[in-house]
Amino acid sequence: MMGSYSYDDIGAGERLAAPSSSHLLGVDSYGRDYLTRVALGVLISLGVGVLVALLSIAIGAPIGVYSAIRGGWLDMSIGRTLEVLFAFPQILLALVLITILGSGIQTAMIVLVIIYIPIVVRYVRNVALVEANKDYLLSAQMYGSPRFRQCFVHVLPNVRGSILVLASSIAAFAMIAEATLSYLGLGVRPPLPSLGILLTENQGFLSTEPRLIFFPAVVLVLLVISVNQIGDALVDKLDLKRNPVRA
Amino acid sequence: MSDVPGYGPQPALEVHHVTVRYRGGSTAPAVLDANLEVRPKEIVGVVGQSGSGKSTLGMAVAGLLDPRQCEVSGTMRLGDSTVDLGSTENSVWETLRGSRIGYVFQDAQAALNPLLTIEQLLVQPQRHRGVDPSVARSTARDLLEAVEIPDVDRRLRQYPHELSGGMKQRVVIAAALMGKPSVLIADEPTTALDVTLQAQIIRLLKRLKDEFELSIIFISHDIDLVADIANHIVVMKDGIAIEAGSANSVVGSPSHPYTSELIRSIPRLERIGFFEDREYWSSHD
Repeated sequence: MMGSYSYDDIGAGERLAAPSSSHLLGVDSYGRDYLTRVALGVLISLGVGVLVALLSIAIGAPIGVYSAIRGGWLDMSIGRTLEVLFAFPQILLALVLITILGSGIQTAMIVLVIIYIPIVVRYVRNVALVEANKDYLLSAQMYGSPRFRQCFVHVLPNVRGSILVLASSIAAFAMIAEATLSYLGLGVRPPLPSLGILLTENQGFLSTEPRLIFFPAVVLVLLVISVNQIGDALVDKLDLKRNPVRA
Repeated sequence: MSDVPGYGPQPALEVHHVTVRYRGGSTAPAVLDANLEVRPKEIVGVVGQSGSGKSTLGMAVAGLLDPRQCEVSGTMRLGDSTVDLGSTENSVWETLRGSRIGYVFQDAQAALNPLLTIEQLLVQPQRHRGVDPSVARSTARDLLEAVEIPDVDRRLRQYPHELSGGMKQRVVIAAALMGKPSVLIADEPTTALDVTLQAQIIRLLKRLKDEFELSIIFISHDIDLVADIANHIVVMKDGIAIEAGSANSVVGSPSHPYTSELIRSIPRLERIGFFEDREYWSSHD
């Protein structure tokens, strides 16, 4: 994976060897190169975060926009369904699904997508509702734009900034949630590393080899901060395009 | 209007007993039992202060009020079809809006989707009606020329924020004319503009009225402006049409004290005291 080591190469170095030129972050208790494991962990955590965000937005955002614009009984029943889902304890939902589907990275992602969809629907419905009362939508209605088009050509692109902010927050939350699930043994399965797995595996060395906890923990914090920052930066860029006068 | 029996041809639009109540909140209706009549190629001005229900009346006639938010009753006769304003299905409104009734929105900036070019804004709605793309494009071009926008080819490629306020309002008017409606509702189309642009837009509307054979409902708070453009005037106060008649009679000899108040409220230099002072000084020279 990284350089000449593999993430599960037991015996890449001496057990618990300190950082050196051949192992920049040292070696873990199984003799695996720690830099390789942390790097792959970042990749997996980031992948889970981004995929969960994309999937929950892809499913939730259209439902939210349609619900806001369509209104009536559909909007009402979606609203009530969301309330039921919000009332359901998330960790219980996760445990039930993992029992049915078996633990693993895919299950963890499915669980997270299911948990985040209601949040996306509610949030997007609210921002779309603001757009629903704007004149440009009335004029689209006036000139015979079908409702489907009103939703996806007029409203959705106009709330993309808000959706992007939401997506980056969800990606960040999902990375933390994945770390939590993996820490509980419900997410990524060893020897595959994720930042959560690295924390679990090495918690026994907190007092003797604190670097084994320090590196993945700091990397997780930095990762979450960067994902949020990237979201904000993208929104600024998009807004610039939309209204150059403000720049 | 109805107080002038036997006047002119068959009305292009008749609105009877319109009442609109917003759900929740206050119990007072926004519009109460309003009647309106517009004959072909005639402009009817609806005047009143903010909150008088004049815009609500316009939106009710265009079927733009959200039934989730308000309760509408009343009927409308548009040419040879009769429409119940309260119970008409959205699918029926879709056949009327745009193609038989056009609507000019007050805030042109808000009425144009900021993410679509002028061409997209003018071509897409025609495509929904099954108009051939090349025909739709040439119609868009003709409409922009009709509303006196210069350099049409460049404007078509631009986004709304690249146009000036007056230009945007012209695009909104062009959009309203897209479906060749017989009735145009202009909801304070000049309020956001300065006096020079205001005069230009008024002149444009008068010209378009003849060119496109439109009947126009012109909604404004400015009785001076309405007197200039309208043949007939309806004065609204608290949701009730308190006075209606020809522009000359309403402005010249108002029968309702509120109308006189509205006319008196038009700011003029002499009323501020400027001319009185001058007279004072000239007589004391």
